[in-house]
Amino acid sequence: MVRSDNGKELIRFEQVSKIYPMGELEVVALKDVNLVIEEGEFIVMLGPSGSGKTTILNLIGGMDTLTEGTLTVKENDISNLDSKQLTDYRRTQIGFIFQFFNLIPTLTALENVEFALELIEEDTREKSMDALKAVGLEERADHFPSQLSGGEQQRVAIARAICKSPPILLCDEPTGELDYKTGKNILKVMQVINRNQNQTIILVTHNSAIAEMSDRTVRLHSGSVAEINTVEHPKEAEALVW
Amino acid sequence: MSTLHRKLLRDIVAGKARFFAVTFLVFLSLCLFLSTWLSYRSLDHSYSYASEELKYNDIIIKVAEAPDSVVDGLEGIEGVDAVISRLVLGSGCYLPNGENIVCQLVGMPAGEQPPLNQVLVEGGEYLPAGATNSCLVEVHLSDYYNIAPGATLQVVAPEGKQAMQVEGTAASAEFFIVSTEKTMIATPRNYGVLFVPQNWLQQSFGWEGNSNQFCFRVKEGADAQAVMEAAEKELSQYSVLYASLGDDTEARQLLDLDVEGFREISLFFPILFLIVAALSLYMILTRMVHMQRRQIGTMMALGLGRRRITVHYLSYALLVGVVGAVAGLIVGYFVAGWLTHEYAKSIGIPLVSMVMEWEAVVEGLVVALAACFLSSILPIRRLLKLKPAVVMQEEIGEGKVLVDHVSLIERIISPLYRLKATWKMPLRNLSRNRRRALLNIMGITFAFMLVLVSMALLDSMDDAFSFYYNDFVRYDANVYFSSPVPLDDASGLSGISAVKGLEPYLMVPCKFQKAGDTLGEGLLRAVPQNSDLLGLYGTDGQKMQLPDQGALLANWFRDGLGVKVGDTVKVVTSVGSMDMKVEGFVKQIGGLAVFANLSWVQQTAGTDLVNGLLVASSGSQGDELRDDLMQIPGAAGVEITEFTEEMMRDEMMGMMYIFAGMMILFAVAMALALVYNTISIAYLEREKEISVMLALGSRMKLVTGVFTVENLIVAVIAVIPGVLAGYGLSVLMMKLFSNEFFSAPAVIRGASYAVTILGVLLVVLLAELPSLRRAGRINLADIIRDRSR
Repeated sequence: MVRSDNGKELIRFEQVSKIYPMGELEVVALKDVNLVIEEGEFIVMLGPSGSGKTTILNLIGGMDTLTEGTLTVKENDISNLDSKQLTDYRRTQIGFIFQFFNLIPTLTALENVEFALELIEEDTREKSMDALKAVGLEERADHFPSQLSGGEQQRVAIARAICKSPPILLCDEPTGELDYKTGKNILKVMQVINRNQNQTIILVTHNSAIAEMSDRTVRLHSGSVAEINTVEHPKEAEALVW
Repeated sequence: MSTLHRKLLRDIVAGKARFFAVTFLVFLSLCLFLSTWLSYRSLDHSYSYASEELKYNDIIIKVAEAPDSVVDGLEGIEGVDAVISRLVLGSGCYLPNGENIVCQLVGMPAGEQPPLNQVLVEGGEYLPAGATNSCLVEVHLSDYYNIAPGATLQVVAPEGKQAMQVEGTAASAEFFIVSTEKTMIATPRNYGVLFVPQNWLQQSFGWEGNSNQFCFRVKEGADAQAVMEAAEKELSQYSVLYASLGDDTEARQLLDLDVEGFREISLFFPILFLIVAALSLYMILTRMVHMQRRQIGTMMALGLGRRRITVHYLSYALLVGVVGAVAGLIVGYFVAGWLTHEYAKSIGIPLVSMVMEWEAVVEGLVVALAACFLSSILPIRRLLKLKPAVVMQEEIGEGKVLVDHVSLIERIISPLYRLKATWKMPLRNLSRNRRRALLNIMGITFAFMLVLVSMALLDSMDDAFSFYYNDFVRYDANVYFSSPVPLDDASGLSGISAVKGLEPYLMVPCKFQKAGDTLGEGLLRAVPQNSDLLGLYGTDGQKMQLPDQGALLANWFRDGLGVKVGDTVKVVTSVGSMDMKVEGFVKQIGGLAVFANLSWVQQTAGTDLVNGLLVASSGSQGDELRDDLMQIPGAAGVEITEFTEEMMRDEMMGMMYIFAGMMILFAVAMALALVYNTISIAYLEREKEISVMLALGSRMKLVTGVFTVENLIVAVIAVIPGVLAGYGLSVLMMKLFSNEFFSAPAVIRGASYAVTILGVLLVVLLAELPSLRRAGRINLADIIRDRSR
């Protein structure tokens, strides 16, 4: 079992495999993955395309189901949840940050955040504004996505993800669409959230420089965990260079 | 097969439901077009064919009474090829099952068919030589009552009932639909035509050696109009009541009106359907091009010419056109055959000759392909104007995409701005792509319009019948005399038991003229001035009373013939000609009729005769009442209002229900195909947003709610233009279908509005089901990572 020893266990992969049937062929996306992620960790997943990074993210996010093995989150087995239970799980436990931001274009920045909150509670305005403040976007609350820059859109996406204080933040190439400076700003915001709110962040990227700000780096290859490195002294996001 | 062709086929397979839906619209258009157009042409041709085969006359002249010997003189008129005289009289008849009906007796030579106006013997034999008490039963009557050769009927003659043996059943192009009696609504239930030996008819009804109709065939190349005028002159001393060229008879006019209706349907509805198909195709192609812009950019970058790319996407549209049109034309051809035979049978055209018009096939195909071409070329050309790099990189919008504005309705109704974000989405989605929102609204407007027009057809017919039987006809029975009787005799019949009202009348066929021009033929209905049994109402619903002198005319005189109050109309009848001042117009659902004070008419015509009685019963009804009234001396037939109404409602309204039902079915199918396309495209545009909503933890119930609200808002917006357009189209339709034989205002009842609105909303809900099912099976991870969406 590949795990760290310094905190409370949050996510556990046990012999997890994911196989996609493609006609008569089968594509093995994950094979016998064992991994434990603990509360408050900042994990960066690296690996070439097709290595299984996004599949792991999708399984943790309840957007896909595994083929073999067991996946537990907070000691609950999510491998066998039905569609309705997975929806509830995503709503309460997961915050997503996507590469292409995926904001709803007809809603303002504030409304995009409110939308996520409305799924779990009634009084949403104040908390939504707080989330926008946390990412430094309160001034742009009434702007629509098309009126925001890429970096601003991603910050709204972060606000949307953190507003309901989920224990897990899943970030799929969050800087992939951003320029160097904006990308670093986004990473800084995420680092602050991770430290201040103790939210577990799992970030998938091709950019190995980002690994330097993480607590642990998981390197995947051909659907298997090839290497796990603990970063002794994580760098500040501002200090990253790529 | 080239790679591009394979791509085209795979694109079709990938969106097969949308391809099928839009192809189905083209199919419906072309099927409806060809079936109604060919029926129109075939009915027209069949009538001419039957007329030719049965030697139908070129000219017919009806007179009050003239000796048969006049024929000799008429044969001498230049251009006349053949002339026959015949006697045609109305009377009563008891059928083998004891039912009493009003009948028309048509004199025919025994032993051989006349040289003109022959009949097609469909069962049994023609009248044998020397036959007296024999007859042929016209097929409408024989079919309705199942009367076979060998059966015996009883015809009411002045000397009493006379038994007649049925020799056969016969069809004639001359007698379909029209009752020359005109004093009643003719249906096989209460009216029929019997072909009887001319000599027997003349002897039994006191017309020895005399006839009242002269039929002519003119020589090839002769001027029929000149021949008719010469013949009218020759017969003028016998009171010419009616003169017509073969192509201008009532039967022919009615057929013309019917086939004209087919012609209008064959153009109007297919064009409407094609417009809708084109709109739908435009939306599909716009979306397809939008979604494949990266592929298009790549194709351009690889060096594929704009023409080939254009042809590739046009092929999709043209394939829709070809598949839909060819299938529509093939099915339309067979439907035309069925429709023509059924319709010809129902109206009594004895011989059917189908026409195939390749021109119409080619025209239909060209119009369908043109509609598909035009609807698809715009979105392709818009994209191809851009550089490949731009095509690949930019989000090319379809129309002006507005996603950075608070919706208009939120600005107008500010509390809406405080709605939950979830419910603001459907409001804002409406204005996010105005062009497509407009197309969606137009599509649903079309659906409303079509369904409402179909409902209006039913309501208008039902309203017309209700008016006729509730307001106009206030009598329980109508008694016809075999020959006119003096007024005193008729008035003296009030001793019949259980009769609470009895009004004598004089109703005679007549010709209307104004300033020397013939307006048409119809009926003079002279009734007591203060009649209670005939309800006369203006088109504004106000009750009207007959003037002392002058007449009230059916509203068609005003609406269709331009007659005004104060004009003088000459009414030419068998009891004399009268100039009548027009005092007003009364609402009538069909036929040209003039209503006048009985006393004044009799005084003007110098007669005291009446030919029927309107009866209100306080006791017996139905068969019992009819049997009672048939005891009245001279009664030839009794029309029981209850029976006629029942039959009219069953048969006429039954046909209307079928017709309107078919229209509703077409409209709903079209609406479903159209709304399915618009909604599925709207869904595709939102698929990524929906995926995000689901990924964030929204339940399908919420997604369904948001999507449904958006679609219902579009439908609700479409209600107003849909209802207005539907009403306008209904008024236009009823005007188009109105003529001297039938006219009714467009009526749409509240319930029909409600049913239409609910029906279309239901269609919207049904049409979104496939999209929602797709949302339920969505692969969140794939879609969220796909930037092209």
